[in-house]
Amino acid sequence: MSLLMVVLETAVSMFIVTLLAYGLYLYSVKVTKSFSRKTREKVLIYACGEDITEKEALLADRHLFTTIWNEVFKPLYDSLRGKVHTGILNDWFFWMFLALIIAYTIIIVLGGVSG
Amino acid sequence: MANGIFETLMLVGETLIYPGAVFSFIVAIFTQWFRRKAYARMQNRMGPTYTGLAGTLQPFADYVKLFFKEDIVIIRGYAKLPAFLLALAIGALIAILLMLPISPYSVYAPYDIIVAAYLLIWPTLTLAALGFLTPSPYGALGSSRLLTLTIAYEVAFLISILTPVVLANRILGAQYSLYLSSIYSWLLWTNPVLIPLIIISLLTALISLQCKLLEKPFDIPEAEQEIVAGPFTEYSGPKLAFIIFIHDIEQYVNSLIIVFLFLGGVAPFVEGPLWAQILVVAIKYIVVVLVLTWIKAMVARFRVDQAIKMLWKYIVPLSLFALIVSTVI
Repeated sequence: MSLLMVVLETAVSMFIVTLLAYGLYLYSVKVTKSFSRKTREKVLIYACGEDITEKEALLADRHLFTTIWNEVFKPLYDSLRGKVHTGILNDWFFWMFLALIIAYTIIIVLGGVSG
Repeated sequence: MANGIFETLMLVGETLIYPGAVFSFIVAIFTQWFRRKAYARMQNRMGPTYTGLAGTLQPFADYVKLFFKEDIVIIRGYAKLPAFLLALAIGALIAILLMLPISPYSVYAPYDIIVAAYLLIWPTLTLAALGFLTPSPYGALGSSRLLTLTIAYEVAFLISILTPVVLANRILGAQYSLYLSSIYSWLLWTNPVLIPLIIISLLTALISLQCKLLEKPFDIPEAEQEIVAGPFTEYSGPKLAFIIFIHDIEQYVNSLIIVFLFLGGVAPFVEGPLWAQILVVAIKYIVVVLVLTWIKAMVARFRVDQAIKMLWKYIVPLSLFALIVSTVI
């Protein structure tokens, strides 16, 4: 069996189960429609008893995952910042030169710039 | 022509009955019951007791109850898209079962581990998407935490399962196939040089699986004291039933992968009768579920930064070490 056949057969299998599960969901919605009562309170955003508007329910970017990454890797940034920002121009030049060498190395390893 | 029709029917039958939807549902019910019972006994509680023999039908009763409850869709929330995504995730998990040796007509080819890895990520992405599909601060925070963890544990889990696959390919010619690696993996335990590598990758796989299942100490995305239920806060009725089902079936599929890749599958009854092979796989599966439940009962929840530090500082490097050594040994 080729890899393409594996992809096709797993895709077919996934498609069949998806149809089955989604069909069950639609059936459940149809059945429960007859006895469910729509109330205003049910459809409000849950906020542990607080009144919350839609705008307040949206989060600022700073609460999302980038912050966690910044916090976790803060020791790395801190040590680098201490070494780069010594106030001595030569130190700054050294780090910038290092960054340039790394950038050139990556470009050369990846095959250079065409045109 | 007749052969093609037979193969198609086999594929449909396997997808719907064994080892597909129906069988997975039964195993999911058993797994949830066993996990709840074991967890309760570890905490000096009784666990499910009333429904069925020793409470075995309690998860089934829970599913039926949720399935016939109202599907509440909050303001600006999506009604059908989350259900479709959940259905896709269930489909992806069941498709992986066809690539394992429990399937009578296994689907396999060289390098199919890539397909398996792709399918394994579906449920995580679905659960993360759920939080962003409702205008809820708890949902968004939970999904954000889940995505943060994903970048760590998916890497660790993938690298961990690659180690036996690479070893099986280099030594036994398994061609990076999940099925062939599962068949031959027991032979890796016969070589004393490879045993430490298998043990290291088994440990990292178990810990990253615990994180993948969002169980303690990694239940950060749904930490109920902080963010209610995280991405699942605003979901009820059939969608909540699907979410719980995905959790159970994810435990089933991933534990089965660990049984076949790391614990030797049907060994020591490779040439033995079918009932002995089924029994030994079932026992190994129960042991894996028990170990995961034991970890859950034993530890408290990490903070998100502690979890990431642990995964990136210890689990990922350890699994990477095992993988690198397995490629050069």
